Amino acid sequence: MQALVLSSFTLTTAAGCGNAENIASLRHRKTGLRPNNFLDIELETWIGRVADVEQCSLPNTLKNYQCRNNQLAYMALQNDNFSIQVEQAKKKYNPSRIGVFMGTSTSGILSTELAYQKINTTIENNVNFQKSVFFKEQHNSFALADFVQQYFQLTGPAQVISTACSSSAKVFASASQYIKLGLCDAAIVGGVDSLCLTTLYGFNSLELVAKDICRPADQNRQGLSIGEAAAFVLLEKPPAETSSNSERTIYLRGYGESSDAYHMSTPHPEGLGAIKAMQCALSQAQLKSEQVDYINLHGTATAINDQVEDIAIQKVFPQHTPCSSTKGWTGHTLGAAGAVEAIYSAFCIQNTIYPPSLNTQHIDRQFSSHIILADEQTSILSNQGSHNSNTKTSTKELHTIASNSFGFGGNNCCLIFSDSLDNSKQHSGDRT
Amino acid sequence: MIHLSINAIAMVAPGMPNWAQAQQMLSGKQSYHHAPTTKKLTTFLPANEARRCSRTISLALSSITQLLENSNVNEQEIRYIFSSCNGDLSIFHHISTALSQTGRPVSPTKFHNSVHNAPAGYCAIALGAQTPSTSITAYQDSVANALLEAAVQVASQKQACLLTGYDEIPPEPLLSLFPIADDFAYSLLISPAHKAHVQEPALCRLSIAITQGQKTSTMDKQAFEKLRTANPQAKILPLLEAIAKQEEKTIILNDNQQQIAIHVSEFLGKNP
Repeated sequence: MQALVLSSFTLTTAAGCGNAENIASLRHRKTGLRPNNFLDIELETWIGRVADVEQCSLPNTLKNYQCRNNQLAYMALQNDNFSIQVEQAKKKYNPSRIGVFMGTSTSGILSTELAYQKINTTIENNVNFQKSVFFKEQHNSFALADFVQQYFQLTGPAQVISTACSSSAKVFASASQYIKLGLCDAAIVGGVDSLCLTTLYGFNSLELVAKDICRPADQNRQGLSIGEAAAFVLLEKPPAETSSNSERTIYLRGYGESSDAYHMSTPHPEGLGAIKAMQCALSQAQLKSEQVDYINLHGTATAINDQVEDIAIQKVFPQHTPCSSTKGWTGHTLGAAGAVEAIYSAFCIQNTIYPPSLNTQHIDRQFSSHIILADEQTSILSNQGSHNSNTKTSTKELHTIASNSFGFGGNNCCLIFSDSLDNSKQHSGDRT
Repeated sequence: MIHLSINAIAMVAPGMPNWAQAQQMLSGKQSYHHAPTTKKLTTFLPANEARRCSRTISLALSSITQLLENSNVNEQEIRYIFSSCNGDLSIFHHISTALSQTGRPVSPTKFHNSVHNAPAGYCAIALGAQTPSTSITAYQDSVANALLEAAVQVASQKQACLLTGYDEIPPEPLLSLFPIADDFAYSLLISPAHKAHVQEPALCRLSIAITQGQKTSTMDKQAFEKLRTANPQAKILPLLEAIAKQEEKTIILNDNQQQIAIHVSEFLGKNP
């Protein structure tokens, strides 16, 4: 595929509001997870809750969109000059030539869920219910793309993908295709998912929620911690001239998508769908598996996900390829996870961070993959400082990342990000 | 402009239980009488999986079953697109009701069926199709949005694609908020215009482009126009009518902030 530039991005998770806070948490291994304190939910679990979402007030013209998911989206859009970059893109192209491609699994359904709670306790008829529910602007999944389009006054193509936990990875693939075919020149891609009753109680009913903080790849992992997040990226074709920006430019190099065709809520036991997605992404990026420096795992910390993902990456990548899940910082942000981890990948490349598997104490003895632990990361980072062209192949260099996202219904997506467009300059696997 | 062909059509609509009958009625060869939508149960799911399906999932799968019964396509070599305005409101209602009861007893099966891509998951399992699938929504404009997505996927991946649009009548209290009078689903097998990716002839050619400021296509006959506005998926009707009548024309559909223009031409068995 033709590589696209992530020309601007912003991330809001439980681990930080905006890029700087998220990078600081990543560097200092500070989790954003906390014991559950959301609404009246009595589940014993940890959650990745973004502070003060409910305090956020949308502009008057967008009042009907006021729900937790759009509030979180709006909060995120205020950071990192993202809105300024979009305004510049509108001038450079045209509002009709910028697409909006969003992923979400539950959009603003929390508002409708809470309206249901009131039906049963206080009213007999539907009048108050009907007045309190905004189907188009809050409940429906398309509300997210609609909100972003309205906020930026864009008139190009708009799409919402809702394939559970792969939703906002797949928007990168979709936007690439629309840009390739000339249906738009640039795209705002991203994902927003916010805490709600359905996902907390639903994952709990499937016995996939951990009581303790989530511990991806751990011998004693007990399940996921659910989080919420908003992640936005401005995707464009690479400019003819390289910018003078001191930060390394990050490119989307490849995407791979597949279906498990196995079970609604359990991955294929041999990871066949995941393998297909990763192989397809590599082939699109025209990269060999040994040229990937780090894998950002889907790594939800459920017993079966982490086990199958370990099997799958062993079939595709060299055994020593460093990998980890970053859900120890954010929790599993479901439909936002793909875009969250795309931006984490950009952070890691720009700041040469190999994130450890946060909260993980003992790696599952059955695993063959090279899961990075906190102690090991210290030694990688302590080598920092000698950043020059002679160290291209040393362990601490980080140029190319594969990021996995797998969803219910067996829906898989793998994305590849790199700071280079030149395949010959890629890392060739010397990790001594 | 993106050029495509349509190779097979399925339809599950009020008074039109399949495409063969719908074709007769839409072309005026047979009279149309409104009747509640009857869907044939899908035959390709194992009994235990079929039992777990919701009404919405069955609606989508019955449309796909009908299309595959009338097509020789290799279902493991095509991509899948699922588009629904509302997703599964029956399941949402069921879960939200459970969440307002003591102990909040959410059913695990209902929960995993609640994802927007549940029909896609069941379909992949039933057909053993490990090819990519996407599940999208664009609220009231889901038909136009899905046709554009199908065009993009077919043109950029050079691979045939099975598009299915479906929406059911929601239960109260949601029905009052979002009135849908009839269950409605359709499926289209779409392939690249000039490459034989499916082993069957094209029913017609399509050319799709983004446009603006045009008059949205409607149905001339009152009964069909009523049908068109009774379910967000029924906005496919002007396109299906043109195909049924083998009438070369351009259909305009709204897609949120823009419109798409679909030119239909080169019908199978009709001399130019």
